[in-house]
Amino acid sequence: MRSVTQDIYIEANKRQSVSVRELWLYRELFFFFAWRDIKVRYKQTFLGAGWAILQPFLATGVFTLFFNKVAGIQSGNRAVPYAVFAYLGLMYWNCFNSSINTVANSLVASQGVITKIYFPRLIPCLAAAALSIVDFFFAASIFFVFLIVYHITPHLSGIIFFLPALAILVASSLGIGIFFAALNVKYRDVRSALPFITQMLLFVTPVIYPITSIPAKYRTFAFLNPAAGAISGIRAAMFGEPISWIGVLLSCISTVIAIIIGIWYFNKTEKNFADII
Amino acid sequence: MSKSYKDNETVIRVENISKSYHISHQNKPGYGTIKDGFSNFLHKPRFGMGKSNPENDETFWALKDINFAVKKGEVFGIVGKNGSGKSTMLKILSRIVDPTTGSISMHGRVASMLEVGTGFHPELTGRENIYFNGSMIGMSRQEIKSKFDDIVAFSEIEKFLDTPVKFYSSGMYVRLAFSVAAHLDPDILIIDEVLAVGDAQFQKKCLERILSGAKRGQTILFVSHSMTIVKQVCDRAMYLEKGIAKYIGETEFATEKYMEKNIASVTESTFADNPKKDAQFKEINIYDSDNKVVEALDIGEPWKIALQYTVKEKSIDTIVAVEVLSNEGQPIFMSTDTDFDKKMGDLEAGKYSASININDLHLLPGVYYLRCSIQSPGKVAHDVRENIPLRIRQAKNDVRSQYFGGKYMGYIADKVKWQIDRSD
Repeated sequence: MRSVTQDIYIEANKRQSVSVRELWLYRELFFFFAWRDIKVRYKQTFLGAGWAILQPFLATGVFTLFFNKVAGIQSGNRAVPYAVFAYLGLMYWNCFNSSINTVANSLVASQGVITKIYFPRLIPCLAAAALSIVDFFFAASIFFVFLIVYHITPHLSGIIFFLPALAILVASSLGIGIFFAALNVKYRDVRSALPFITQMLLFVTPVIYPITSIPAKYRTFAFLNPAAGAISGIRAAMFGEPISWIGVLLSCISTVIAIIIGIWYFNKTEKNFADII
Repeated sequence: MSKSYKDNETVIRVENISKSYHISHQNKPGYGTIKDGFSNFLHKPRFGMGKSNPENDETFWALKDINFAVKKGEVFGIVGKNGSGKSTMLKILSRIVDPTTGSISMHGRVASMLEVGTGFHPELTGRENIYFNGSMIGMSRQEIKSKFDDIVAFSEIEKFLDTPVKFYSSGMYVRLAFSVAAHLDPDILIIDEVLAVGDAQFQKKCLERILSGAKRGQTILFVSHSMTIVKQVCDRAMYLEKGIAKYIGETEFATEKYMEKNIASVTESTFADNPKKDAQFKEINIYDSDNKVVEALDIGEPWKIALQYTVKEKSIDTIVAVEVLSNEGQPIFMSTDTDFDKKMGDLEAGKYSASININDLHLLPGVYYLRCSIQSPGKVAHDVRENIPLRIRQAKNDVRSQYFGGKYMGYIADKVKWQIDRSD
């Protein structure tokens, strides 16, 4: 608890910003931040949390109509209708995408408190990611409705891999997100550029199409995108196809790299946040 | 305020703290765009592709070599003009910004209130904001829970607890935010100007709440523009000017230094015409014994207040009054145009000038304020001009400057004759 008497020592150029011990000390603030973000997000909305469901639901409808019916993209598995395939991919993708973007904007959005109160600056970033996780679970509840409607029995490995896949996406989106959050403090270009970048990233990630549509020799590169390994992995697990463990491993490695770079840059720039934000 | 310290332990030690900012005259300081960043990168000398523009970059020292120590239970004030570095000092102490040089050690749980209602969200209800803001400023959930009822009672907004604060009046908003802050009980409390808002009664209530913490051994660092409050609450103070600590020590002296420096900037002796007023002052000046307009007088020097005022419409039962107030706002002398013979009567329309010769009011060195008014007592104040500063200087040869650190108690400088005989 923070109420425990502790000594504070401040020295020029010695700030250590990302400290697990300190984050633990401030865990309550993290919960309050996340709780506030969730409350605020759905206040004064008619549909409330329904938006978390409606977005991937409508997107699935549009994707099914254009990519499946018009462009003829298939799920790659005869037993799995394209809509179920697309929804599963989209709910994970949405979590990844919204997590990157909200985390990247979290510091700028909290600039009022950042210039007035000390707390580990990583807290609003983590809370922003938590918000995306909550939305994910709303969206996931509909996925099971899809399974029932289409009479599909999920494989046990799909249930087992359900949360680890989420963990990979959240961890990698945090790594990428905090890098851009720190960059956003200095360069507000991030706010405009990032949604565009992640939108483009959607097309190089196997969300609309199955990973098998990518020629085998390029697949290794595709898996460097952490979302590719996690999404194709959960799909394969859910529908009982062979899982590309190499792909999952590559995605895990790139996740670790993203986190290291993110934390390194965050640490390096954090001491100036309040001065320049 | 005096109190006995249980122990003389130093809980805050500030050593050689400096803070510099780079100001680039080309761009706004602060965040830029990637384009700026890229062109700066290209123009860095080590990159060898262009010359840096030294006249465009300037280092600004917001603070320079600040050293002080605060003991447990002490209320330490920081005063200075806007831009003197006091906010930067507080931000460094609150760990919001990093110092450029130096170090600070603080012993105990530190909480800072640099703003009232930090993190308040308009969409959240009063209840929700109490929890969020409380947690923001350093209370645990358990602590907020246990103090919740006190906080609500203190804020006097019980009825609106479940209303989003965006529907609150500004007064309610401030009261709620104050209440949360006032219930924070850290070992070291850092406060900036937060008491400057809200109605006077509520301000007083908050101040008392905070000071009761000091009596229990809480250490408080206090920044305010209100010298009255600073003098009332601080045991010691630091006067900052352009980032340099010009004085650290007795509150009285620190506030006086502040007043001396600020007098010039607040004085305005002529007043613009306000068409809404029936009667108003045009000019108020203080003359010294050489008949020069001044703001400072020597101790014991005869002086004069000159008033120019206009009356647009005949004003019934009206008097013109001047008052001298102490630095703390305490009235210590008053005189009106009816002092001697004139009965209070009607003021005919026209222009007037009054000269008030003051020979017998001897004030001790310090800062005072004049308040001048045209009023119908108990009915209407036509015009009031206050905060006109008057400083009484210490005379070097005055015997009173030798004792008590040059600071006699009270306001009246009259010397009285002591007849002392030996009675043994």
